[in-house]
Amino acid sequence: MTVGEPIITVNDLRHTYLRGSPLEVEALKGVNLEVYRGEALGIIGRTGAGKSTTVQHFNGLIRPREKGKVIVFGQDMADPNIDVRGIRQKVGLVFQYPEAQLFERLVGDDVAFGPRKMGLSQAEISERVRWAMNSVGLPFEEFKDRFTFSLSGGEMRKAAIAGVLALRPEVMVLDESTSGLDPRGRKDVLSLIRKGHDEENLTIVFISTNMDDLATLVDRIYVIHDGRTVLSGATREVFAQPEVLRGYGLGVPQITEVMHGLKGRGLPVDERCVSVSQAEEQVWKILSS
Amino acid sequence: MAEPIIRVQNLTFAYNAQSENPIVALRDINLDIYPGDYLVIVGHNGSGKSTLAKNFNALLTPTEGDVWVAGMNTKARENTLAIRSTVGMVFQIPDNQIVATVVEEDVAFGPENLGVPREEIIERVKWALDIVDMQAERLRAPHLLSAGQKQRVAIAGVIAMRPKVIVLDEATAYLDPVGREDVLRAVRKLNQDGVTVVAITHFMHEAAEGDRVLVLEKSRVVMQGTPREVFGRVEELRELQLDVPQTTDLAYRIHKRLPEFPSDLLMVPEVVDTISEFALRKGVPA
Amino acid sequence: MEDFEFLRNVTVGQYLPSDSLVHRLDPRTKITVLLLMVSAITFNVSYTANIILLIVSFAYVVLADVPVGYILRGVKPAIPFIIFMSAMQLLFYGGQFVPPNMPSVTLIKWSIVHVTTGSVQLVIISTLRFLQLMFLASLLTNTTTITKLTHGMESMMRPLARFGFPAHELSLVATIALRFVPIFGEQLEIVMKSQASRGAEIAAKGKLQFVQTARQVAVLVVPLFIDAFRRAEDLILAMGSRCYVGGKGRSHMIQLHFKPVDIVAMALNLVFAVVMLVFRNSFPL
Repeated sequence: MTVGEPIITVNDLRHTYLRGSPLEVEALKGVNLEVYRGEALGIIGRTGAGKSTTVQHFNGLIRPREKGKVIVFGQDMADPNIDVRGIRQKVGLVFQYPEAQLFERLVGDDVAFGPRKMGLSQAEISERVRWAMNSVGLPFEEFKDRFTFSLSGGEMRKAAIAGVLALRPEVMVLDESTSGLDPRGRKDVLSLIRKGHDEENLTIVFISTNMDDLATLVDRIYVIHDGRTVLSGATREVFAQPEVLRGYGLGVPQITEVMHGLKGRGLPVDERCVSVSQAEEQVWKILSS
Repeated sequence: MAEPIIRVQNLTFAYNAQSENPIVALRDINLDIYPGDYLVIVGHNGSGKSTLAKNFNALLTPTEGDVWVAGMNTKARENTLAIRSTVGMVFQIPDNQIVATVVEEDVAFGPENLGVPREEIIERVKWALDIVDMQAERLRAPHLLSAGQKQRVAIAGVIAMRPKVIVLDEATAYLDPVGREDVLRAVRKLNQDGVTVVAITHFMHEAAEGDRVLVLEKSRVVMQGTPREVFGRVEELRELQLDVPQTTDLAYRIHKRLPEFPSDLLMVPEVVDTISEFALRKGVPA
Repeated sequence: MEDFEFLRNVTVGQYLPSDSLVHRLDPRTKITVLLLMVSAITFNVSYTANIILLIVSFAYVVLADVPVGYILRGVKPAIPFIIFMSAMQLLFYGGQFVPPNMPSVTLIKWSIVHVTTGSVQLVIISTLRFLQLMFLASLLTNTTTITKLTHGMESMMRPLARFGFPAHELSLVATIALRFVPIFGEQLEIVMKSQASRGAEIAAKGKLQFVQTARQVAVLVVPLFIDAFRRAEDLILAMGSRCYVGGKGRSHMIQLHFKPVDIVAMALNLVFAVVMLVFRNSFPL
């Protein structure tokens, strides 16, 4: 559900790494996108397409220095005088393999890092940490005094996500949060993100190369290819173009491929279907007629 | 029938076996892998699959039971080098397998360790890089490659030792779809050339590549069979919280409503064909 | 504004590609020349000898097609230190340093301050030496890829392996360390960005922050250490799987071959170094 003006606007964004050196790389060549309050947005593209580079502009880690504009909550990110810390509290960014940032001995302490940096009172910090840990499925009482590095991979990832959630941002940007996890871990993380969106009204920006994750998580998708926005629209509409997506090195969920195949055989199905249940209903309608 | 190239007999493995809190990772595993097989082992993290893989090349040795590689027992120290040149292993994280600062030099690392004569090393490196399609990058610095490319270099480095078996321990876990497809393509080629493949993965659609699937859960083998046989058991897989390919899921659901509909479909084309066939019987499209 | 990008492509001793004579020399030749020149430099303290050595070092830089400005720019950060050291030497080392070729004349003596022609000479010679060594070191690193350098060093140490010296092991240590430098550079960038996203104050580029609390350092250092150990564990398994058992019995794909130009270069340098060493006390001035 999107309401009103976008909270993040990206307009013709360019970015070159190591500009001026012989190793310079043009990572972004013209990215356009908008994020609306309360939505679940997906960004897909091959590795190296520019997805991470783009979202690092949302919280000021990278500033627009060439062409292009990035406006976040009304602030022009090219302005050196904006309150970056304030933006970083509002827009939480969880990097790929976020467990690589854990440093405290005890889980609770690590999750508390963000709130502590915000200068909150001890009571508020505890409250935030409790809420964040419970939200990601690491019950506060059970996990707060566990050794950080004794957790399993999936648990460490959740702890890292909790660390960003504890800032109580309005927007959560998650960069490939399911990569490297096994099916159970993936389900866990996807469901906690969904909960965050549905129950806490968090605006979600989810980056992935995994089509199946996006199909059921996000309402709208931007496809980034070679540093540019090449496709955008509702999830179903974007996935309805498997050949185009394949051209960008991406796939569609198997089920969408099946429906496309059936449509090609003349069967009355909606080839924009992205879930197995929807497919089942449609196929059954035909086979039980 | 040929001799199995890897034979696992009553294998039980426990971490910290001598301590007060041993962690039993594998219980009483029995398995025969024959030359030319393409075996896929699936299971959750903690199911024991990685532990099993490490028993294949003597990185770990059994707490109880035996593992034989080409007739050599892995417990005998003197066999270790021969075993490791017979069974090559590719690991999850591409960067952490590459030691040299130039691609072709890393591929040469294995053969150099075996004391292979220089001329032959040069030939093997060329051959290995061709198979993984990385010949063009042979003089590049590894840190400039994509993850998929690095993984292919790692595979080249392993096959340059000319192993009879290649074990891929979740080798595609950290790759994007294109990288994964590139790796699978190289592995398919190797299997066609007669190399035995053992692939550990938790991606179900990769399990479809093998001619046999083994499902591990909490240190035991809970299912085995062809991919079709294993995936057809949708309810059990669901209970184990393992993914079922969407194709098989759809086939199964239709099968539940219509028993004549086959439940063990795997590939997109066959699902499309079968549904179309059934639809035709109902006169659709008219 | 913060800038995290400077870590992205960290390499050691920047290699400047070119087709110069020096670039084409065998790395062992260059290492040998460096060692010979360093010996000559170490034992020559007269003005004349050092001018000669400076000219020769400079000639190498020209032969190597390396822009002198590039090297001198590398000296810039060290200038405050050099000035400080020189002042110390000038003021307090008058009594310590006796030039071999001429008597030392006291210019100023007052309490611990003792300036002599000797200490003046010391300062000048030290500066000249610094330049000579900068030119020679740059010669090695700017004209030779790290990979070639490690091969050269391993090759030179190999004869010692017969006596148990871990030649291959050391060179592998160097290679792996170099291989992981850009990886840790990237990893540091990621950790810095991650912590900054959580509200940490990460130092801006260019600002030297010497005073950091242990906690501020831990935020960056702990994850990197953990990462390094994990990678090490993985590497051990990977190397073991590829049958690494140390340097004994290994063959080598990369072979270095001396060309005539290498022999000539080493011979000429040997003669030069020997002459400089033998006559080190005979130079006027």
